[in-house]
Amino acid sequence: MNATAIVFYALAGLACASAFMVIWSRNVMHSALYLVPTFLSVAAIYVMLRAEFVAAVQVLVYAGGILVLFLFVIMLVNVKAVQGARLRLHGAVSGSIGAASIALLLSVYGRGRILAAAPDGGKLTEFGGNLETVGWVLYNEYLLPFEIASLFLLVAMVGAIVLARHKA
Amino acid sequence: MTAAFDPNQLRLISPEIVLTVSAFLLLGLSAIDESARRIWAPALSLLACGATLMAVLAFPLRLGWDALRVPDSTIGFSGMFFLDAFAIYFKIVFLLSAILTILVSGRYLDLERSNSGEYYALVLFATVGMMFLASAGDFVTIFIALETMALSFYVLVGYLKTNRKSNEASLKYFLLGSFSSAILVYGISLIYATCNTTNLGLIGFARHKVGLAEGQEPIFLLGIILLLVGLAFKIAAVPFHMWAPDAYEGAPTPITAFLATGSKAAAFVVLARVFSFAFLRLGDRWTMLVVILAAASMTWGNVAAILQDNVKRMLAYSSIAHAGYVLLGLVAMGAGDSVEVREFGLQAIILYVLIYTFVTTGTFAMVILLRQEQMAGDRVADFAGLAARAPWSAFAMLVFLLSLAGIPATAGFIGKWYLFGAAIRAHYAWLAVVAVLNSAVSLYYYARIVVMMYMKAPAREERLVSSLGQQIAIGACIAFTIVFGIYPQPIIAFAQRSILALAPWAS
Amino acid sequence: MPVPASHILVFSLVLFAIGMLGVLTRRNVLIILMSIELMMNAANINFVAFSRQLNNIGGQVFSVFTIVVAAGEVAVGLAIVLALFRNRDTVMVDEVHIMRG
Repeated sequence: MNATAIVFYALAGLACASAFMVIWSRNVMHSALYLVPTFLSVAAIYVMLRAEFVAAVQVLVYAGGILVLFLFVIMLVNVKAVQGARLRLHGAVSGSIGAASIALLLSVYGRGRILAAAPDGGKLTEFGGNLETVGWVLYNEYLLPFEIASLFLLVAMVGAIVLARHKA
Repeated sequence: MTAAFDPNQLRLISPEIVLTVSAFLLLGLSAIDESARRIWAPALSLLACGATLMAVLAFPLRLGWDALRVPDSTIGFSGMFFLDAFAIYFKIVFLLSAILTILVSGRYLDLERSNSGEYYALVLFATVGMMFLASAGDFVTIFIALETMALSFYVLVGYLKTNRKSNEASLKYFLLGSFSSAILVYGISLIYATCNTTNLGLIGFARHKVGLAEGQEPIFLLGIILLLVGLAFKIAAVPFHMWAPDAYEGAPTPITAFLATGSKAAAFVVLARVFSFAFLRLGDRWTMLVVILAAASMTWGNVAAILQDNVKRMLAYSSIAHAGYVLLGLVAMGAGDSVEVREFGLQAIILYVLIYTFVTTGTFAMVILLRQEQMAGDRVADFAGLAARAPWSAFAMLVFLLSLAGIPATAGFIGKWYLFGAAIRAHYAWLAVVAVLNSAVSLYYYARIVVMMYMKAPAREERLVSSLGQQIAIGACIAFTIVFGIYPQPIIAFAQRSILALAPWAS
Repeated sequence: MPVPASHILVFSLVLFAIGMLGVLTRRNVLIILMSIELMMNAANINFVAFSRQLNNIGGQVFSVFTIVVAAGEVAVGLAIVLALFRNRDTVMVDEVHIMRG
């Protein structure tokens, strides 16, 4: 086991541990803060997987945008009101259903095998670096979904304003 | 190196462009002019839908329907977009559904004091999302278009901001909707992991040509299952239906109608397209799951509907049951032992979606009609004595309910006839029997409303006030239900002409 | 990458499972939303890992779209939470029930 592998397992462990704390902690503010190590270590793993662009987007959008949005809303709604019991009967029932289905998933994974690694033909950096390649593909093959994504963001913006502004 | 973008391809998405630009225009105008918006906002959005409908119809009129069944001439944007007869059929359905929704919205929003331009813009955006969905040929396009539609619906369901029911409905719909999206996208990631592509055609081709490598199959099947679960949430099939009754009850009623017709039809487009293009070869693996979903949805939907006192809630459970009926067509696609049976199942699905759009919108339009200044009009008891107060309205409701129950001489009967026939042809006769028994159960709760209307004394005396838009919408729905119930050949032929050109590896 | 792809798959599955458990067991709307974000992150890890494994850029591009969708959903979701909080003064799912049946 070399250094890269050790770094990967450490990051994966950190991500899972703090993800668990997100759903475990009583205080919603703590939950939001525990998201930070998860998002950042996932971004670091992206870098290790040679997806620098996705890593940058992950940091910008998740840590920079989504998390700040969460913090804003937690402060807007009274923090006292958002504390609460960790688990109730209903939660326990649906939780055990969830745990059962996860066990099922894991057993399928145990039996399954994935594609053998393709030889590195340099497709990930076909047009220069990773950023160039993603950009090239995004504006050629993926042009249509890219345009629909812009529409999606417009809908999100209009929708958020419609719902959140005060007067009718 | 990939070819650069060809501007000629923009012609393929001209209907979507027209509708998007109109929605922009609506948004801009509603910021400038506040006073007269309740007149021009619906008018402009109807105009936009009409123009888009023309743009959609221009393709078959110019090229002919047969050209639209040749796979090569209809693909654009590197396989992301199909403009085949199947896509055009559904675009027409979505636009008709949007037009009916807009027609019945105006007066309802006035009564709720929430009439504004953004509402219509969001309806148009949702329609654009559905239209892209009808043409999507790649999981990327499917995912992003589905989300565009869903996001518009989250907002529209919660549009009555001061109404607590509407808040609650949009919260529940949003939470379960985005939960299902997360499951869906995880399923897609597993399919990508085993197929090395997200293009539907390539996945189907690869599965046919190469087959799955040793040990890959569990992960691929897991991907399909997660995908099916994600989509089952969207069509509200039991046991993934929990959001539907609350969302349907709390949403503004025109949006409930749009949710039950447009959004459900959109999810069925995806199911039909994905399972026929990508997964048809594996029909024996996923058919059993669809059978379970179908049987559970039909049975639980109809049983739970009996217990409801709120008409919108009752219709929500009834729409869950109808999703179960439509899944019979998917069963026939998966289990059929010849191309004819599979195509028959597909034809049954798309025929039913068209019929259901008109019948359901008509039913909800009646619920909207009962919404008067002093009355919410969504309880079963509110229908008391409608026949005495407004004989024509009561008659219209009667026709819609009979059609939902599938009584002969209404359009609903034709749709069910084809779906049940598809199940029988696919050797699932017992499932067809379950469906028929369920239709009998559904008669019971539809009859409750009929009894209310014709045999109870009216609780109120004042006249029902309606708008021109409502009258046109109800008139169109009733005409569709009766005319095509008695003479269904045109829509059957239309559906037959529009089914997917199943790929050569389909058999 | 010296780590076998199946280990990355297991990592993404664990993250997905944590998110799913969060959605199913927690009653706080904000935490449910965070859990959904975790699930979407898990899917992205799959896409990126297999993009590397299969030498195919499509997975990375798909994960960009997933991030876009996650951002849009959070924006609208938090707006819904705000609208609800103004009317109801609560963000707990099980205190939000006037509709039954």
